[in-house]
Amino acid sequence: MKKLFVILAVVGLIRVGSVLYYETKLLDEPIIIANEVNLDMNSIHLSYITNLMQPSEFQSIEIDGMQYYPQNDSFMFYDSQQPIQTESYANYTYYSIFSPTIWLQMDDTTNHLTTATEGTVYFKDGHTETITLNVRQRRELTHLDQIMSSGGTDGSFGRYKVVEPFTLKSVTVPDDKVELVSFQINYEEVPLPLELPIQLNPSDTIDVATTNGVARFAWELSAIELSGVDKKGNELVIPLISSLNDLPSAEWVDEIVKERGNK
Amino acid sequence: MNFHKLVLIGLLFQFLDINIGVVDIMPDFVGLIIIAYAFSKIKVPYAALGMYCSVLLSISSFIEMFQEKTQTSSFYEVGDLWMQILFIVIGLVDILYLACIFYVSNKIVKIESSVFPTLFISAQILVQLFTSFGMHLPFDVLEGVTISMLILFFFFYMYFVVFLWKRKNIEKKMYEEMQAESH
Repeated sequence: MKKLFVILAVVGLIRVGSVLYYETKLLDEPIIIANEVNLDMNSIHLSYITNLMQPSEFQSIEIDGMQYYPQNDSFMFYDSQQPIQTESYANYTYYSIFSPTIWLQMDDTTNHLTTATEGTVYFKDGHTETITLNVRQRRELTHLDQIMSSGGTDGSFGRYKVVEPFTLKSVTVPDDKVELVSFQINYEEVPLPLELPIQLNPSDTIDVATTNGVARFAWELSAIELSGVDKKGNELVIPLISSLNDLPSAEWVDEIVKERGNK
Repeated sequence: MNFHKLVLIGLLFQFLDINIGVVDIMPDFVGLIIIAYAFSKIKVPYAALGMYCSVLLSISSFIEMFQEKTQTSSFYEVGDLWMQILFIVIGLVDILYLACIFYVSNKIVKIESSVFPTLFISAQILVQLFTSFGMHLPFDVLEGVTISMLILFFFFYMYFVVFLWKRKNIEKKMYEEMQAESH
């Protein structure tokens, strides 16, 4: 029994030391890492890093004097202000990422947000933070029809059929969230950047494959832009949208916490 | 009074959670009081320590009944540092209380010693150590190990009951023999 007392005393000291170290890792406040008002999807997305244990809970976001609450996904609570994403988006050693989504019910509400620039985020623990909003404007797919798409952790693929003629001048990835792996026209690889414009006619096929990218929030999207001119000579930009599927890495989260945590 | 029988009854209160509405009709703290009573009736070394440990655990269990249940893991509850330290102390007292049960049991039932008490106490200490290190591991690794540990401990506790049951019968037989001799 005397040996046991010594062992328990040592174990106790180790445990207290471990708790003290854990305490140094805790965040006093959540760190907002991304936001997006998506006018295509009629949604507001937010993402924040918080403590793994007893995380900060998102309450609402105020934009231009209007409060927006996340809704319960279940139809039983449809349109009610029930709380919501209790599940984390990603978990790490000391932290979690939570990614609440607010689905807007009416286009009018979404239209109201077209020119929004700032929002105030409210957490249930009383913490508030004013953020600059990223508004993803409505961008329709013109001149093309998407006929196939797939996405996963090994990348995304999309196949498009030309429905209206246009001249393709360049292919770019403006947001740098993904890299182009392959760009094919009529099943033949096209070297990028384009040396000469390519005339595309109805029934031509475009295949685009990209690497996967990191989604800081659920439903984060990436766009590849096809720039060119239509048959009337007007400049056009066609966005090819794909979803991102990788979770942020633990190293990235640690880096953010190091930079912005507990100032 | 059969020490092992009382400990077994006490353990039943700890293992079984039968609720009527929100009320647990077999609360853990009652089981621990029964075990404390069992210790109080035995006059061997460390029986008193076992009693104090049981009383302490009983008080802690009683307070816990009125605490709000959270979804967070028991590995780490964010909050007051002193509460964390108290939580650690209770974990260690829990091991000490089990060690006292084994020690007293060995003193009452003088049979060939079993390897089970050492294994069980060692496993409890390892859990404490793992808790210290595990809280600094990635969440998915921690979850996997925790589930494995829970399964392992389920079997440990099952065998603990069997172990006490066997000793209860031996203790009973001993008393019967003693009574027969005295007649």
